[in-house]
Amino acid sequence: MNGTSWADEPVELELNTPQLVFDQDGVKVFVEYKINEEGRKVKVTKKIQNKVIKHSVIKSVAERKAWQKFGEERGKPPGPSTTTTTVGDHVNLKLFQWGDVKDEEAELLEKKKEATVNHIKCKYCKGNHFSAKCPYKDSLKNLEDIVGPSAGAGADSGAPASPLVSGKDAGPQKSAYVPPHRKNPNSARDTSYERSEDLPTIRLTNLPPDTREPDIQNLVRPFGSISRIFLAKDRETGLCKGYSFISFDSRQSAENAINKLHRHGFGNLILNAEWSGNSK
Amino acid sequence: MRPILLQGHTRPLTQIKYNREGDLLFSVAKDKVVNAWYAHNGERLGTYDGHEGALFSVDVNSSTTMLVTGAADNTIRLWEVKTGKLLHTWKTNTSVKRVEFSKDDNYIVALTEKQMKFESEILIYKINDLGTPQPSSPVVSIFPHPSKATVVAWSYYNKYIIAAHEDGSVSLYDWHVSDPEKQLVKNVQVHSSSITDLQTSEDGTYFITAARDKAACLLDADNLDIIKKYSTDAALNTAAIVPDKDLIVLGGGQAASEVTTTSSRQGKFESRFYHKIFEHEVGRVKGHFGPINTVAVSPAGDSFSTGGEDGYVRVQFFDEDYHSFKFDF
Repeated sequence: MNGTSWADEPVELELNTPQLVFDQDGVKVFVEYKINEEGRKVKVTKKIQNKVIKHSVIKSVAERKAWQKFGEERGKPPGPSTTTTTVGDHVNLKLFQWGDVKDEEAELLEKKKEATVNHIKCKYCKGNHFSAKCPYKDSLKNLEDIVGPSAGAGADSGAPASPLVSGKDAGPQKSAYVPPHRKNPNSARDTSYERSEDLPTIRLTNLPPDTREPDIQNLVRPFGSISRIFLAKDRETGLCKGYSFISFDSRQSAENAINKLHRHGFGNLILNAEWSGNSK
Repeated sequence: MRPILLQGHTRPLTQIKYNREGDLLFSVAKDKVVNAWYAHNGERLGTYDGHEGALFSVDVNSSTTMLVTGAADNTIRLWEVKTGKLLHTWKTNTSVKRVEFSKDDNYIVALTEKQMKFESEILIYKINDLGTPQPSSPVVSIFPHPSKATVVAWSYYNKYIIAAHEDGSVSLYDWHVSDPEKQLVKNVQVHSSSITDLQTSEDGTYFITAARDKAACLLDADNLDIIKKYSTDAALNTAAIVPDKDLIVLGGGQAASEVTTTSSRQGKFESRFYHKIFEHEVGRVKGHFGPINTVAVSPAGDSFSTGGEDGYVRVQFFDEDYHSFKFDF
């Protein structure tokens, strides 16, 4: 209470001193009045039960517990000091019946090691070691020289080739870079991208900022089946940037949509609907 | 379990000891401090101030009244445990590597290092009661042979002095005999490299040795028969016998000079529990980030403490499942 203004003192005392109202069978009830964060006066009732747990110790041990501290600790208050005594992280002691004591860290390390080993692939025999350490290095290398580099690599019989390589075993160009336009058009390409290019697509502009994809869906669904809706949204705010692209399955429904939606009121704005770039 | 970390030292620990009831813990390190701790909560009771060099060894008598320490300042010092008062100082020729009270508290044995022109020497002093002056000269001195001694201990009834040697052998000396020729009773080759620790069982009839050859051995104190051998994958610095269970605790790790070059995992700094009879590992506790220099098990059997090269003492209280653990065989 020292250091506070004399004017506050009586109020503080009255408010913050818990009053003992009940004391029986080791249970004490304290009542305290104080002002909470909202500035209201509240009553706090605290029930405290004291339980005495008795440990019996050897007499000499009990005597030693009462010893005065000495040396560097002379005059220090009782109880462990944080400068010398701390509690460490939890450790486990699991006793095992038989067998090896498992060491989780060691196992992890082993796994890690295995994983890195799996990345290493010999260029001659495809084994789990560096090419320089390949036991078949000399024989396979000679073979490569005679047959040519690709045939040499293909000549390995025992080692399983990865599915990617076996899929298009196309001779010398197997590992060389192939530009996208030279690639076989029937093979893997981003089909969804390709299709949206060809499909009749309309552009809706002047959309209100709070437009979401379901709104657009509701708007255009009556005109025919839709294959794709793109709604431009701000990356940070997630709000609509005001335009959207809708790809229809048929040109007819796209035309209908343009006719109906152009100059159509949506929210508080009037929409513009037109053919998107190359759909004309 | 959550260990209590005692940070009373700034240099590697060299020895920790519980008193007979296991309520106090004494630790010494290569700084000049001797610490006394309450084992149950890690509170420091006090320090014994006066040594002027690295301490290598500490021991407390069975009534927890007197403490003896040995240090590199060429002194053995006797302290009053309760007050931290220095009772007596014995000067030696070289640094003191090991001190131990006899089982009846009437003597101490001290081992001095081989340094300069002085040979390694085992000294036995008579200890008088607290409050009376201590005799200044040793009762007997033994020159260990054939090799330099690294650790000494008393056998039961103060019958022999057990000494472990740098060459891995263990010998018994009859200290009642003054003729140096007849003092050596027996010498047995146990380990292939230097023995780092030797701790006797509660009754002193057998003892455990730990050595840098990655093994610990349980030996009979009467005839030095090897009863059990525990092989590990780490060089050992210390070994202790758990009093109320068939377990032993081993501590060690690679040499301190190599610690910085490897990870703590490879350093093998865990304390390892081995089954005393079946000689195989049953558990381990990690925690130190340097080699474990000394391990002690509470005579009450409720905790064990390790002191490491990292300067920490870790007091670990055993969990419930440790106490309920029963070995099926």
